[in-house]
Amino acid sequence: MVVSNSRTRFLAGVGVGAISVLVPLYQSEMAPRWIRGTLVCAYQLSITIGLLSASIINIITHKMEHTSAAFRIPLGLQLSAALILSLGLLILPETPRYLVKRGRPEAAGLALSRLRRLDITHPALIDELQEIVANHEYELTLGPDTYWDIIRGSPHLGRRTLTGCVLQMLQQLTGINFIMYYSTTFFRGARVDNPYTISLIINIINVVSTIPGLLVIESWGRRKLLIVGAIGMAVCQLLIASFTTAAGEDLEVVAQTILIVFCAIYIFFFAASWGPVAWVVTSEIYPLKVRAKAMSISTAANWLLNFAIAYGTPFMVGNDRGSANIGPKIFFLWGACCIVAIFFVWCMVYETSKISLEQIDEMYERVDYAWNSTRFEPSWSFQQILDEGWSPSGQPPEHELEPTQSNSSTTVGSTASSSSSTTVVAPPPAAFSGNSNSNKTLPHMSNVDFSY
Amino acid sequence: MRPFKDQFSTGHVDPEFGLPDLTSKESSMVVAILSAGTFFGALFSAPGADSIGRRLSLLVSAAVFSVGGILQTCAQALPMLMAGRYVAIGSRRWAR
Repeated sequence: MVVSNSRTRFLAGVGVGAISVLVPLYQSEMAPRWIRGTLVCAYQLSITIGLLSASIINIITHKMEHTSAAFRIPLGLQLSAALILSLGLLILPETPRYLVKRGRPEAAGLALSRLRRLDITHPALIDELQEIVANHEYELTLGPDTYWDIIRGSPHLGRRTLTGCVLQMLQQLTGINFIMYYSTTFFRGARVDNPYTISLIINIINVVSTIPGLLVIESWGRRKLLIVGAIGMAVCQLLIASFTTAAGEDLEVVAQTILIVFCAIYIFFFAASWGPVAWVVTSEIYPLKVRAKAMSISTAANWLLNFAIAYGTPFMVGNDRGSANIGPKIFFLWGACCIVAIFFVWCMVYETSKISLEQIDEMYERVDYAWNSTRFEPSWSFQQILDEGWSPSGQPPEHELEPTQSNSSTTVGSTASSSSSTTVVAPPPAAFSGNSNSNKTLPHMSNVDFSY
Repeated sequence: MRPFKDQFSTGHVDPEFGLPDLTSKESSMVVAILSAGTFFGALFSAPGADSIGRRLSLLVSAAVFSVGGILQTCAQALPMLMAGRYVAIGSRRWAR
């Protein structure tokens, strides 16, 4: 039974693993920058809502104990999530950045036009598309897009891959899954014995706590949210560790209740910070050419640690033969990992809020230390860098911010097989300055021959 | 310190049933297999995302998940009816 069950679980697991890479990848590549972090946080919110639904469905169905419906209904209902995802994707377009990567800028323009609800000739849209194309071509001049390049490539691709992998591993090492399982022990000590009720309470806390993270991710930024969350989690873990170690095994009901409160506060800090933000950061820090590869590796690092902790922890805390029997002292280990996480974020995680994915590439080239990244002001135009052909290591020209006054044709997407020519007659600048959320000065668009 | 089973099988197997339980080794294996699946799924998603695109890869992944889910629903039906065993889905294992 276990074997046949295992094969199907493996298959379902492969689907879940791939989706866990592709959804943040899709979201970050299609989102406008001002809402990108919030959207990827909404991915985590959906996961927690899914967990809550599962525990509610389990409560409803577990009473049908003598019929196979008790497990068939929960297992069957998980298919509805896959169905919703598939139906949505049938309507949605491919991400513009993927199409640019494949050398299809016309299709990218159409996709972007649908996503932004702007006409394909809108100056803001043309500017965004040109910047994506130019950035990708510029990144390709720095090196190819192989697996080897996510370690050795420029600019700082190794550091970025390391940041993503360690961040995802630390997300697991904060001990979230252990708290999820172990809190049932405290609940039982506090005379709450029904596992379904416990699961329901934990999942409600999880869903509600994700919302504050979603609200502040753009205004606080990724770094601040991660650091505050790690401090909160470290305090909770160390308090739980000290309390259980000092009190020993005969905890009173009141003491157990206090521990439940600390667990709940811990889950709040996790769900508001590291739960969603680790996914946000790994979906943003890589350049387009290696984004899928580097994201898949950092996500695999998360699942590897998830597996190691779920599989190995019983042997560390257990008191049967062959176990290390360190008991609740393992909370000290998680607390220590949270403290490591604080320093790791301070030293390694760049602030990626409020700027486009292309400007993040610029930031990694120009800002040497992560703690300086909050003061970064994007100023490069990848279109001009390519046009004027200055070397990647050189300084950008002084006049880079000046608008292009000439009617020179801007040729982008030289890899495109077919090139269509569109003459854009732009409205007066005042007409679209309100719509544009770009902080760069838009060049005059009159009679620009926009070939791509 | 309570035994391993008390702490880690709660919520997955209802003790009220008093029915034969999966041994802890078996249940770790079931959990491990799902994690192994997610690990390889994450690792092998990149070639697809770069060749057939993000959108189509997502559709394929959803299809793979659905096939696994359908087989799971069916595969557990027969042993369940015969042996009366109860295996709750370990959905909380996915908590991140």
